[in-house]
Amino acid sequence: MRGMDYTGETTELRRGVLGPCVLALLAERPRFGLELVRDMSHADGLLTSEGTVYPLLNRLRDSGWVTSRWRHEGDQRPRRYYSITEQGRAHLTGFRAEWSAFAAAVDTVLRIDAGQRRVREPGRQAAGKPHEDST
Amino acid sequence: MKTALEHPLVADYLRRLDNALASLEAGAAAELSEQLRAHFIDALAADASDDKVAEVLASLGPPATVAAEAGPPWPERRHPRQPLRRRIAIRVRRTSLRAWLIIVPLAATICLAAGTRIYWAVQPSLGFNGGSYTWWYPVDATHDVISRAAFVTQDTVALRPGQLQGIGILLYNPSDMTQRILGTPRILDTPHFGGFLGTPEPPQIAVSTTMPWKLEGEPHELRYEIGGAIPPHSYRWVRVLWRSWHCLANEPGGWFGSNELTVRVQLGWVTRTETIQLPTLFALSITKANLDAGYCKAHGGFQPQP
Repeated sequence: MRGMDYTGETTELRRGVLGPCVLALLAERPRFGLELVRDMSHADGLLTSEGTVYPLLNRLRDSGWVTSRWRHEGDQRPRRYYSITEQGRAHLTGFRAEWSAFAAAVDTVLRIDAGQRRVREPGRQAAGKPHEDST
Repeated sequence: MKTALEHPLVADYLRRLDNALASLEAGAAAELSEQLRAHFIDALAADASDDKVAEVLASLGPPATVAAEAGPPWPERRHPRQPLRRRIAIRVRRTSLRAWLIIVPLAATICLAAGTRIYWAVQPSLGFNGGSYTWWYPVDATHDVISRAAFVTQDTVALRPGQLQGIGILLYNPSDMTQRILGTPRILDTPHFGGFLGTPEPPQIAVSTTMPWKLEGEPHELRYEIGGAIPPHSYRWVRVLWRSWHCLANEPGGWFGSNELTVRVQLGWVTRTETIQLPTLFALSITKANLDAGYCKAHGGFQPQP
């Protein structure tokens, strides 16, 4: 299926998981805005636009999952630090459990599909064990 | 002092951002604007090169994308309340004739003032609503220790005997009426706090006079008014200061703390007490140095714990 554009699908998928990813980072320790954005950016392909992290943080705050506080550190200017709330931790725990099962299920289906295609392609040796339903 | 915000490329980006945010609720737009300004200040030196600035701008993404992401943000926008008149009209239409025969005579016996008073009384209380908070004085804010045990987050600083200490907290007024914070707050939970906050002088509570999310939004830059008010569906910083008092403790190593704040609030002509759940347990730890300072002795002597 070459030439198909998956950008829209991955964008929606990415939007769905960004919130839990932010919560996971904040569960490790509180972070200020730029610090959080940089840590998110280190995960390749997760962020397409760093600026969207801030609206996301505000939505998580509105949901009661994230809170913020101003801190002074040494001679630096005051910064707003974001941290996860107890509600946020509970949500993250639930998401982690669901995500593991969901990702495993998707992965299984995608592998099956790839296996079938390999078997059906004419003139090419199947890489794995052929499926019995291939004709 | 010059900052990265004055760089022409950054200034242009912020101008386009503010235009893109124009359709958002004012508080939400101002907060997002403040967050991105802080991002620039942290990410760029004041004398950053054009290339470096362009790199940071490219990473952030276009202002329109950022604004679009802020689409459905605030609780009051997600669940917009119907105007009062419409809510009453809906209720009237749903009330049966039989019910009216009971309600009308009953209502006639209730004077307008009493009705108004009830309306005021049912307004929701002030709350934290996922805002922001800080220890007020930098000496505390830079040395606080955050710990977590038994699903409670505790934010602890050292008690400074005889000195002012305090917290700043962003509170939200979810009601349809202005709420004026009149009263001396009491921090509850432990028997120590009455003595701790009650002496040697009453604590002071003040409310910021403006919206908290002006440029940079830093709570210390706002003006505060004792007995100040929080308008309907608005946020304000609330500053609580007290002179710390440790003379109810009898040994070092302990702490006083609370995760609730109780305030006297006025709505219209009604005054009531509201207990606000704080986002963390604010605590003051006592060291041996505190107890050796002679402060208790100078202020009426040391008292054992109840």
